[in-house]
Order: sequence, then structure tokens, then C-alpha cells
Amino acid sequence: MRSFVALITSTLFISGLLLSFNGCESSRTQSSVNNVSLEDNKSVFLSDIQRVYSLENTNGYDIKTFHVMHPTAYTSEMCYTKTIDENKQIHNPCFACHTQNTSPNYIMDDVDLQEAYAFAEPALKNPYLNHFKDFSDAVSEISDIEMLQYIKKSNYFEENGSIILENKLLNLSAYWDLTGDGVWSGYIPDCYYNFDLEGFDIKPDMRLSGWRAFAYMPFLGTFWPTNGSTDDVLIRLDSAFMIFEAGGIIDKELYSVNLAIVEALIKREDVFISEIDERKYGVDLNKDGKLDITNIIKYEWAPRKGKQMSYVGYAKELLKTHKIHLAAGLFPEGTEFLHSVRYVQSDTNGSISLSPRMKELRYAKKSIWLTYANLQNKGLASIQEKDIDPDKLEIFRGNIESGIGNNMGWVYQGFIEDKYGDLRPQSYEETLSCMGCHSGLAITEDSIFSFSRKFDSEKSHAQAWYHWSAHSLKGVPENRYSDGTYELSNYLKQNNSGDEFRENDEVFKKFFLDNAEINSSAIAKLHNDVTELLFPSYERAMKLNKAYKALVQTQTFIDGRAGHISPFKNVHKEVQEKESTGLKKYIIP
Amino acid sequence: MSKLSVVTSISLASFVMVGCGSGSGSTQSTNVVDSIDMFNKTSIIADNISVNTPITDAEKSQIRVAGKISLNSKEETLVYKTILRTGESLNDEVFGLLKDKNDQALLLEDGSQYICNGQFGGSGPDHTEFINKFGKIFMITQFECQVGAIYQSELKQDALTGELTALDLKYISQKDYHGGYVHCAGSKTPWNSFLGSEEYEPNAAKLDVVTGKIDSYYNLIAPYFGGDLLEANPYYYGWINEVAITNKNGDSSFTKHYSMGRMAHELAYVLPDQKTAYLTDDGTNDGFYMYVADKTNDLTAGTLYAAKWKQTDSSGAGKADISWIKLGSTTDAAIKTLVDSKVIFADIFESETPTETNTCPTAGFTSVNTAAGLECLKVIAGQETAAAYLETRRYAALLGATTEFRKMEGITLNPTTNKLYTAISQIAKGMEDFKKYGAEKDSYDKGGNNDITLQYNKCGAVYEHELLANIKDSTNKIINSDFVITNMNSIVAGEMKTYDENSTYANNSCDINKIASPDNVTFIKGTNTLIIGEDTGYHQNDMVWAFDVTTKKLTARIATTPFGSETTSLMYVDPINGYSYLNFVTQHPFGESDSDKVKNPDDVQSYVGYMKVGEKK
Repeated sequence: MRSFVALITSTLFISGLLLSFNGCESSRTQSSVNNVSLEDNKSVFLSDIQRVYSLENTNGYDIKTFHVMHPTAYTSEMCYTKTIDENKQIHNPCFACHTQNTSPNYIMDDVDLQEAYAFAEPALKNPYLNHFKDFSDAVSEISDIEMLQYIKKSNYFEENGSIILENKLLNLSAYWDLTGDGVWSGYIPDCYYNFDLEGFDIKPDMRLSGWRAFAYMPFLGTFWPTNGSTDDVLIRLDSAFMIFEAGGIIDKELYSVNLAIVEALIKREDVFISEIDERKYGVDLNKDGKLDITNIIKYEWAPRKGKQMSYVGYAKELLKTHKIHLAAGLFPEGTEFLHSVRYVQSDTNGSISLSPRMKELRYAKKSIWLTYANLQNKGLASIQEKDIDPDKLEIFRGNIESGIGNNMGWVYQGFIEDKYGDLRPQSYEETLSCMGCHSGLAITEDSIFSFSRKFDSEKSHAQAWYHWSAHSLKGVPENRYSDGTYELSNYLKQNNSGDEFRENDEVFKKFFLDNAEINSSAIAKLHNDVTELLFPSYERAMKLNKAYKALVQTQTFIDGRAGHISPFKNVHKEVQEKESTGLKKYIIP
Repeated sequence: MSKLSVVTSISLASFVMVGCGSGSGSTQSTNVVDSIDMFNKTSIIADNISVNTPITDAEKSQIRVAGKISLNSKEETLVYKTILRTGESLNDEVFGLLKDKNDQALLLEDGSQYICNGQFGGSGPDHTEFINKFGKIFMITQFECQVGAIYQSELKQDALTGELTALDLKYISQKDYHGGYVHCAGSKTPWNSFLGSEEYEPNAAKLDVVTGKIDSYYNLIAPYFGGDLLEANPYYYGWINEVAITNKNGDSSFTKHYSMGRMAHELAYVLPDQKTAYLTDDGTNDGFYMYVADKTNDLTAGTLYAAKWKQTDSSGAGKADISWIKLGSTTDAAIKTLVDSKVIFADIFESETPTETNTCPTAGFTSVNTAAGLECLKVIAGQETAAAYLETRRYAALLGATTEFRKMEGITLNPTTNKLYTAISQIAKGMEDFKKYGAEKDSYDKGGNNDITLQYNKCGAVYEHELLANIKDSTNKIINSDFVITNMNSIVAGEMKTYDENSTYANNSCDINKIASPDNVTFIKGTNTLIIGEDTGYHQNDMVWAFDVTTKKLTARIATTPFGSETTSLMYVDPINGYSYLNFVTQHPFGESDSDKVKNPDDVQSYVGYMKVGEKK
């Protein structure tokens, strides 16, 4: 009888094509036209002209609405990929996310999703209408110069260096103010992207903002620059992890040690740090039985066998009194992530960097500690529920201001470009789409992708605490699985393509021969330098930038936000209940 | 008997909103909200609705209870009070803590106690009964986690206010029966004991005898057996259980009633003859069962029957005549021997793959379509009793019983009229005519009887049953009960409705002035009032309704529960020392989005409590 109470189902049978918003020339009306053009082209590049936000910025879409067009927006758009091509060849991009869970990730049976489109009934019809739209006219109207100017212009910073969203959220537009109280109750961007040599973000007053950049191997598929976006991820722990005592000042070394402890717990391995004196912290971090000098955080955690670890400083005191918690595979309460997704800034020499303009600014905060038992109980109930009522929708609580809870202790929130390229909050439904990846995948560690993929602290520049602006991915070798196989190469082999939608012709030409066999010499280069695969040509980068810009102009993110020019050829318009993906046996690399 | 009726027209300005978040035993803060109610403008039953449908986010995340009810013309305010919160400790026991076969606490790798707390989509406390016996009041609660648990408390009743508080806490061991499993709804027997259930029985046909594995869900029973899955057996689970208080010290006995059959038990409900019980089976393509005990006040031996639906009216939620197919007669002890012997599916049935035309290739096999889908089965000679009791649903289908019911939930009796009420939370799948959700699909009817051919209604319905004596079973023998169901007539149904996207109710897809996915039902004795609790995804907030069985009208919406939480137990309690109660189990509503401030793990819990519905007489 216990159940997830599904959310918002009244709209299931409403055709997305029939609705318009508040009488405006709406994005939905446009969506009935299969070919998208930039009819209001003049306004597209007016980002620096003073504007007052109105519904016009979203083509009439009210971002405060609780109304959800696609109640299964938490089923990600790449999940509609056709896994069997016209030559009956099987493509398996699914294994990247859907794999065998390891506790405290209790997303059990996730690996089965490699083998079948086991969607809830309301998700059988692909709701991502943008997949079938042609953006080529719109793209052709954007010149290279315009595009370059556009992405080089920051939509995050004012010219005086202040943060645009901070200014806007402190002077809240009625169009963003859900409760009408004039106060934004969610995250207010506070990162200055001004990193010191250790990756710490420095505020204009020269203090630490708490954000710290780290270098990580980009996750398989979507987030590779060759597939359209650059991005960076920053972490921040609760202020208790930065100080020695309540009310104390931020201590950079102490904070670094706590971050390394969290890294050890998430990766379940020892973490190399700069030399410190354990006596300062009163914790035997290298587990050698005495308080001395160490350059290692030893991972040794098995509470039921009496093997405990501890944070340092004030966090250590809070841990003792159970105000905060520590466990392998889980981030402590108050941990935040900031993920900016940007255009691909590319020059004709093939160099790639993050554009100043952000496509999206994504934010996550861990608000509640859930124990292994809590998480297991939830995982089991989820299996039971899906078995008894596979068509029931999952419920995710939240709203535009406070973000959406992922039912695993985290709140997610995002900002995305409006029609004019300014960042604006994501609606409930736009945020619901985050849940597809951040609530129910076995591959994540505590619902986060990036941090467990942080480069090895001992072998990396600055212990892998740096921003991409300080050090590029160029020359970074591939990750290898425990059996010695290479991670990215394996993805290419399993998927027979460089992206989930199999639209990346450039990667295909480079890594596959005419007979579709893998090109072993290209693969050999890839082993030593991931950018062989990850970085696109200038032409491809520009093309994808323009495609996404055309999508921004429509503001139809709820219909899919994977930028493209021609309609996707390899996605299902509809799948059958439990339709087989054609894969005979799932892959766990 | 107290005359009790729910007030059907109260001032809308006098809603009591019960906030959440404070600890157990406390009366929670009370606010009066504005009297503006959309129902005044939109609803044909506007004057009778007591709690408005939650509109604001604040309303959606609170337990809200109707303002007042009247008792013999005296009005009383309804307030929700908590008795115990999961995770709360009393005399070294922790409410909801799951234990292993040695009754030791189950701990996970991080050292966390496995508490069945019902949060974030997890399972939690479910059926709760107040037992008034030996001059004392006891509360028994069962927990719906995969490893089940049952806890018992003695309650202190304040003589002046009727307020109830827990004095102690006891874990009820099930180790003599291999532990508990997914305890769901339940009831109180006429002899004042707690009758619980195990829902979601493991599919024994899928057992891998080498590893002991069935599926990810079942496999995690291993920690109960110290990690040894081979020590478990799927037939250990899927039974009705009974907890009886045996003396004034609160000692209690525990029994699994194997003679009542094995299925996805929602609950067993015993009628006033003290021997006839009805059993609901919760899921898709399930059955409906009757048990007649050999002796009164004793469920250890009896005869088990399965219902056959003969449709008499296809309109709305439908009507049918019900007849009964005898499955067998036996004792708990006889079946316990079988269960303890670790019999397996292949000992009971031969099975084969159905043909493409949904028939069985070999003579002697019969095609059945149950919760396990289409199967061709043949009972191995001499295994009829094992089939009837360990594989009750499959065996019932083999004998021609109807296994097309969808999510059959609560049962309750109006003792004044001798009518029984059952809730079907969704008329779908097997209950349709070769359809799923209104579209052609044969999955649920192929190879089966297709007895039920109703129109799809995801909002569900409540049915009324007449109870008669001298009814014959499928073997033409008179059933030894005066309380045999002979029909099943819908009396109130929900209605699928699409609200405009700009409507305040846009996120509801069943009419908000009607029921949606009825789950628990309970009758307030001496009145015409049937209380219907929802467990729905089609109303944004679950609601609790009062329904007048004479006028056939919904008379009041007496409570709405927090967005995303389920009311897992809602029972009217006969007056105890002059006070009447509705017991009420719900999950605390904090989702993460509004819980940045909530770092206290106490707030990640479920609450067992009550609403007092009458002053002392």
C-alpha cells in the first residue's frame, strides 16, 4: 500500500502542441512548426541593452508555474535513443549510467535498464518534441562573428565584476518571486570564478568564498565539448569544515584537509595532501597510530569493525555530537556543488576553453543526512512500488525558488538562459529534468557524478584542485578500469558512436573506419590524450553553439535541451511497454 | 453507544490547521486560516466540505484536519496528536527498529540502525490498533519494511482529557515463524486481538535454489538470517499474523495463520460471527478470498474460498454477483510443517511455456493469468493442499476463481446494516476488457477468465456487499457462515478529470470533489458514515473523506495529508473509557526542499497518533 505519490498527472494527455501561454506568441505554438527560425532575430544579440524581465523573455512561459507539461521530465531525453540501428547493430550508451549499484547507492536493478525501456506508461511517448525539429534555418541566420561575440560576453558578471544573478535575486522580479515576499529563498550565486593556485575561489574582498575548483574526467557522453558544451564543477563544504571553532575564521589548510577527507570517503581510497602536522588537528589522519607529520589521508572506515575516520576542526566537534555525519560514499550535510555549463570557445588551432557566457548554472546542496539504512529502505520500497505500480509517477517536491529535492537528501536548482541570453531561474519542470540523472542512477556517488571522478591527487597538477582555466585537459590520459581496459575507448566500442544520439559525425569519422570497425590508431592516441576525443574542431564547435543558441531562442527547454541542427534520426517517438533495447546482456565495465 | 456524526456544514473560517514538526506527544500549533475557499465557487458539495483542498505550498505540506465534529449534538475540535515517532526510544527499544532472527538490531555497514521510518519514499509504520484489554490500553503497530517488525506499547489515557501517551515499548518477535515481511494493513478481531498482514509475497517460481536468490527485493532478507540467503525461503512470507495480548502485564502471543492462505495480503477482516474473515490481495490480477474458521475466536483451522465475479452491471464501477470456490480446509499446524520443510515451487507445480495463442501445449496444464502473468500450470498429484495454501492465488485461478482484481485494499463492516465495504483503488488492467488504461492490450486477460470487463477508472471506487447465510460454495455445500458476500456493487467512485493548466487544481487528475484511489476504509459505528482514506497520485494531497452510505453522498473531507506522504493507517476506534479515536499513521512531510533548516534526524520520521473524536460520556 505504501507508495510514491505521483505528481501532477492531469496533463498527461494534453498535447503539447495545443497550448499557448497567456496569449503571447508562445514557444508552444512555435513548436507545432517543425522548422525553427529566428524570426525575431534582431533581439537575439541585444544582451547588453538594459531590459526589464517579463514573460517576453521566455516567449510567454511562466517560470513560476507548477504546471508540468511532461510529468516524466525526470526520464532523461537521451533515454529515448534507438539502441538498434537500421543495420540491426546494437548501440549501448546506456551502460554509462545504468550499472550495478554499490552501497550506499541502493538504486538496485538499475543495470536492467540497459536491456529494456522500462518507462512508466506516461513516458512511453517521447515528450521531447525538440528532437524532431529542424533548427537549420535558425542556425543559418547566425554568423560566426555574432556567435563568437555572443559566447564571449559574460552573462554572469556585470562589467563592474559584480554577479548579475546576485543583483537580480536581491532585487527580485515579480516574475521570479514565487511567494510574493520579495525574498529569493534559494541559492544566490556567490562564486567569483577567481581561483588561486590551489583552486580556491577568491572574492573581491580577497576572502575565500568557500568554492573550490577541481579537475575531473568528464563523464561519458553528453558533457564532452565535442557534444556541444564545456563545463566546470566546484565544491564547497559547510562552513563548519573551514574553521577550528564556532565563530572562527576560515583556515585554508584545515578546509583543504577536510576536503581531502571527503575525497577519501567518496573515492574509498587514500588521498595525497600537502604535508601537515596532525597535532594541529588532533586526528591520526594517516592511521599510523600517532599524531605526526603526514601527507596522506588514509581511507580506513568500517564502523562495525571499530574503524572510524574523522573530520578536523569544528566539523570534528560537530561529528562527535552527531550534528553532522561521516560515511563512505556520502557527502556531509551542507555540501554544495556548482556546475556551470557553457558554450564551446574554440579557436582555429583546435584549442578549447569555457566561454564566458553560461548556458546554465546548476547548483546542488545536501540538506539532510540519510543513513545507509534510510537509503536501503528507500531503494527497496522503490523496487516494490515499481513492481506493483510501474506506471505511477515519481514525486519530487520543491519549487522554482527553493529548488527540488531528489529524495536522497539533496536539493537541486538551476539557472538557464532566457531568450536574450541572460540567466534566469529554471521552472519547476525544467528543474525536474535534473532528477533524471541525479536521483536514480547506480553510477553516481551520493547522486553526484563529478567528484568521484576527480583526478588522482598524487599524480595531478595541484593535487587536481584547479579550474580548467588554469590547466587544460590536453594531454590527460584515459582512465582505466580495474581489468586494464580504457574508459573512453570502451564507451566508443559499446556505443559505436561518440554521443547518445549518434549525431557526432566528427567523432565517428575519426574513430571508426569505413566498415564501422574501430580505428585502432585513433584509439591508441586517445589512450594518451583524452582531448583526441573530447575536443571538437572549430567548425563543429561553432555549429553546436549556434544550434544551442537557436534552441535558447525558442525557450522550449522542457521539450529537450540537446542542441542540434537537423532532426534527430536515432530517437524513438514512442516506445512500447518494457520494449527491449536489443542488448542481450548488460555491461558492467 | 455514542451517537457520532461528522458535521456536514461547518464554518469555513474555523479550520484547524495542524502543523508538523514538534516532537511526539505534543499537541501541535493551531492556526485559523482564512475562510476563502475555492469550493464555495466551484463545488456542488461546497457546503459540506470541511477541509479545503490544499492550494498553497504551506497547506500542501501540513497535516490538516477538519475543524469539528459533533457527538450527540456537541461539537468538538479535531486535533492530531502523536503517540510515537519512529526512531523514538522507550525502555531501550527503538520504535520501528528492525531485528534479525536472534532479535538483535539490524545494522548497516555505516553502523546505522535499520529503522523503518517511511521517509523519502521508503517504507514505514503501517497498521496500528488500540487494544483495550485487561483494563489497559495497548497499541500495536506493524511496519511495512521488507524485513518486517511489530511493536507494542501500553498507553496511558488521561482521564480528564482522553489524551493518550506511550508508557513502554516492546518488540514482538516473529522468530518462530522466520520473521516478518512487508506488513501492510490490518484489523482488530472481535476477540480484541491485532490481525496483521504480509503484503507482496515473493514469487517462489523465480527462486534460484543454488543461490537462494529471487530478486533484488527479496534477496535483502539475507541480513535477517545473518547474511545467509539460503536459510530463507519465499514461502516463509505472505501470511496473515495475529498478536494477542495474553495478560494484564502486556505479554502477548504471536501466530502466523498459515491456514488463511498466502498472497499479497492487504488485510484480513473478521466479522462479528467471530469466524468469517475476508482477505484482500493487493496488486494486479489478484483475487479476493474468504476464510471460515472451524471454531469461533480461533483462526488456526478453517476453510479457504476464492471469489468468482459474475458481472451484472458494466456501467460505472460496476456490479457483480459473487460466488465462492472452495480451495481447501486445513490447520495452521499442517501448513507450518510444509513451510518449515522449505518446500519449493517445483515440488508443487509443473509449469510450461504458453503457446503464442495463450494456450497450454500439453493436456493437463491450465493457463492462468495472475499477478505473475500468464502461466501454464499443473498441480503435481498430491500437492493440492500445498498449492491451495502456499500458492493460493495461482491455485484459485486454476480452479476458475477471478484473479483480475486490481489493488483491492481496505475492508470494513457497518454492523447495523450488516453490509461490508471494500475499496478498489484503481479499476484498471485485469478489471478492464482486454485493455490497459482504456487502450487495447491483452496482457492482463489473455489465458484467463476475463470475468471483469469494466471501463477504466484510475480514480477507483468503493463497493458495498450484502452478507447472507445458507450460501452454497462451488462444491454445492452450504458455507458454514451467516456472513457470506453474495455481491459487489459500487457505491462511490472517483472521476477522472483534467483541470485546466491555469487552474488552482491543475495538478489533480481525479475530480477533487470526489475520491481518488481509495485505500483504507473504516465505518463509524452507529452512524451512516463510512470513512475513506486515499493513497493516490491523482489528488495532489491525499484526502480523508466521510461518505454517507444512505444518501450515497460524500459529506465531508475531514483531513488532507501532506503532499507526498501517505496515511498508512486510519482506523475508527470503539470508545475506550468513553473516548473515541481515529488512529492515524502518517509520514512526516519534510521533503528536502523545505528542510534546509531541518538537520535534526528526528524530523526524518513517521508519526503514529490519533484524533480524538468524542468527549467522555
